[in-house]
Amino acid sequence: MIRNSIIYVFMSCFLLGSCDDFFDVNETPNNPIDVPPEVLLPTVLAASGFINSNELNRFGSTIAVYLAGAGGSPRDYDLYDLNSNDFGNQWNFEIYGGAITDSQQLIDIAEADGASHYVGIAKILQAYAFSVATDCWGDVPYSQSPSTTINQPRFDAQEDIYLGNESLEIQSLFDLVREGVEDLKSASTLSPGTEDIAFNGDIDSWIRTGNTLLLKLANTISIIDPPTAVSIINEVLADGQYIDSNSEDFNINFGTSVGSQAPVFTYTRNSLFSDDLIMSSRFLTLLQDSNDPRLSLYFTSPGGTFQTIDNGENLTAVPDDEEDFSKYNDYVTGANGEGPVRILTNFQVQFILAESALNLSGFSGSQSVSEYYENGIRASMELAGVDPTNIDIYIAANTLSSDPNIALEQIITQKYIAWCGNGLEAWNDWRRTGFPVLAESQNAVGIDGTRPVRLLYTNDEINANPNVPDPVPQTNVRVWWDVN
Amino acid sequence: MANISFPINVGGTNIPGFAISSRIGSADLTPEFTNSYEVGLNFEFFSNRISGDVAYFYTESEDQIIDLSVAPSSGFLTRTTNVGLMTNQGWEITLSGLVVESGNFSWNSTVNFTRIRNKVDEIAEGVDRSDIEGNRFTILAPSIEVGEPYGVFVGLKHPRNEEGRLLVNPTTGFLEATEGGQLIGDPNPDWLGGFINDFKYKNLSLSIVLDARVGGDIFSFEAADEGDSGALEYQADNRQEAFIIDGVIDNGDGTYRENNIQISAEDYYRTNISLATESSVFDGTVYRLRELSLTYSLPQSILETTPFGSVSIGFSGRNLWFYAPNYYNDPEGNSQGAGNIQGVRLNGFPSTRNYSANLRFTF
Repeated sequence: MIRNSIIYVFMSCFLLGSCDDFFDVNETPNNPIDVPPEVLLPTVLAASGFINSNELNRFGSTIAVYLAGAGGSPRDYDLYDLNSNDFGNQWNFEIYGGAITDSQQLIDIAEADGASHYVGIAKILQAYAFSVATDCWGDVPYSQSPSTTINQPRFDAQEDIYLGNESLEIQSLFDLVREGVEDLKSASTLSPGTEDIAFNGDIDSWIRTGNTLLLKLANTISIIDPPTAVSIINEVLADGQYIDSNSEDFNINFGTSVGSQAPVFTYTRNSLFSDDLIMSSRFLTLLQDSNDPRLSLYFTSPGGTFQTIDNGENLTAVPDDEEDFSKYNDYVTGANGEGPVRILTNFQVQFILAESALNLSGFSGSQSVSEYYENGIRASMELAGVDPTNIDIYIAANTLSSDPNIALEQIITQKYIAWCGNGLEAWNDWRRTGFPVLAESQNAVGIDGTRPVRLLYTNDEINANPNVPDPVPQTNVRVWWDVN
Repeated sequence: MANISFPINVGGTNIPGFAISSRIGSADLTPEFTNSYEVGLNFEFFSNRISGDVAYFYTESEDQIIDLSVAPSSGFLTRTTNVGLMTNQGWEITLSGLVVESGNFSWNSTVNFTRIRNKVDEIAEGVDRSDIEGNRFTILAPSIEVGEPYGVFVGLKHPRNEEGRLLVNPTTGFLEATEGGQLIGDPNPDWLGGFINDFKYKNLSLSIVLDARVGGDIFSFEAADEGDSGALEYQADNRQEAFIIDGVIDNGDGTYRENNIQISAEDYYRTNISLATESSVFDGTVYRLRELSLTYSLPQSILETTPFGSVSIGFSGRNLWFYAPNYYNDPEGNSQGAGNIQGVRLNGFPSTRNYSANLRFTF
């Protein structure tokens, strides 16, 4: 008969139907071949949350020195000891086989239904998933992925993924997001509701999210290509619809019961691996030195003190009781696993604008570098729940330097402190700007004992795709936008 | 690491979710065909005192339907399709004979020998390698690859110089970082053999079964696991000493110098032993005393006055002894159960040694 090529994993029962005629025996109700957009959207959203906050965050949080690896894979990450066995599940099931493929399915189905709101959301989430892939791995399949007919997609250069390349028929990530925003602004036959675990179906929030993703992507390339970055940032500022209050943050919300919880909660609080990750002594020192009031909101303090280990430290005894050590607190995990996973935030936007005002000529923002910088600190502290008096004290003690080099370090270091819990963003900023200044781990090994600046292509991909760059770039080879 | 399962409950609402399958189907599947050719010879000499059977076979399998792996970056993992051509050829030889027969004593012996060579000749257009579907761990890929036998292991290798010496990192003194997608082993044995002997003296009979499996690699998760925690016998000595990896350091100008960087015993073993690399692949050659049994039957003269037709008492033991020259443990056994994957051990139990005694009466 037909269409074995499109099979959906059936996870609820409302598509059950009867076998009307003989040939229906080849159609299993457990694998429906057609589903409505509202059951694909939560899959894509959950996958996006996992991309940012599951194993890539165990890596990112360690490599960006919020946490130190006490065991398992994070211990290897802390020693920079990566190999091509790492992150196969992220590549296979969260990024390419997850958010990217399912968002494509959502786009195809929603376009056929005239449900342009779903199309717009799917394009924005697909662009986000591709951006994580290229930020982590450099050149990755993009223009030929996903596909049921091209089984071995080519690898597109990171520069082409960000900027597009007409002769190779590569659409830029910026254009993909812009299309998504346009779709959100057009009439739609269907609109999302409670299955939208980010915004509960609020389309204006999604438009702001799309534009804010443009800001983030432009910021990522702002050192390698300032003219393109500043024109995109100015375009978003002129449009005016971007995230600029904490209530507008793009968060993915999870649930409080087992099986619905945010990944960061599960691996921090509720799994066999919960002792792999312990607060880093270095992050403790950084926050204590500036009397940062966010410290106790970010991390638990068993028995009233912060119990930490140093990155790469030789552990005489592997900790086996999570209650004895400082872990990510409710700000990161949610009290019962609800998260949220923060993907794009107001504080991030303020720090991006501060950096742009400092470094990009032609930047059209109306506020000064130090105003944006203070906005960022204030947004982060309010989000974490610091009281206004303490925020004012902290900002007064951490004013921005007039020396632009010191100012950049201050901006990115404050952004880093604000991103606590999201290691991927911190790692991206560190690679791009060199800030915050991070000393190497003790006992570091890996390719040459230096902090990784990319991930290794995975075995499954190497085995099945002759287009994987050969030789495979090692973890000390910078990606295109990483020039510092 | 973590996972969720739909329907998820967020904010008090149950939310169902669907995902697309990771397998691409095909509407164009055709039947698979196998052509098999066999030549055999049977012979018996000296009133059946020596008999034998020699066979050569050649099998071609075409258009087999399998789930071929596709690049995960396509968004899918497998594609169901007809694939190319695989060939199997081999010899099977059995010889048996009555070696000694003299008075109350006899000795019967059988030797068998099997040698099979298989090869993947074609897979599909543009595909030279594919994982074998099955119950495996993600880090090691038993695969089919054009020009190689069925089921070769694909994993990681540490880089070597032209002379085959391992390269050592000049900063750390550890082995240089592994490269993925390398052929690291072939689980197919060179040959299998068996040697069965039956001795009889009056009412006493003794049976001895020996077998051999020569060649054929195994991938041992347990060797990596136990070695990583320093639990293997050869790691017991000199644990406080400094070690130097037997390898060379690249001078960067096409020449190499002998590695002279000291590392601790723990680091030495950890860098030498790592999962999914050649260091977890061992030659699985094993010679084995498969079975030994001794039976005594009471003579008929004693039984005449009893209701029994026959009475015998026997002792037997299985798997009593093995010799594996290149592996520290019993290489037999496959942790992956039924399926197409061979030679993969995942911390499985060693094969058991059995002793049994039996009494047999007939009426």
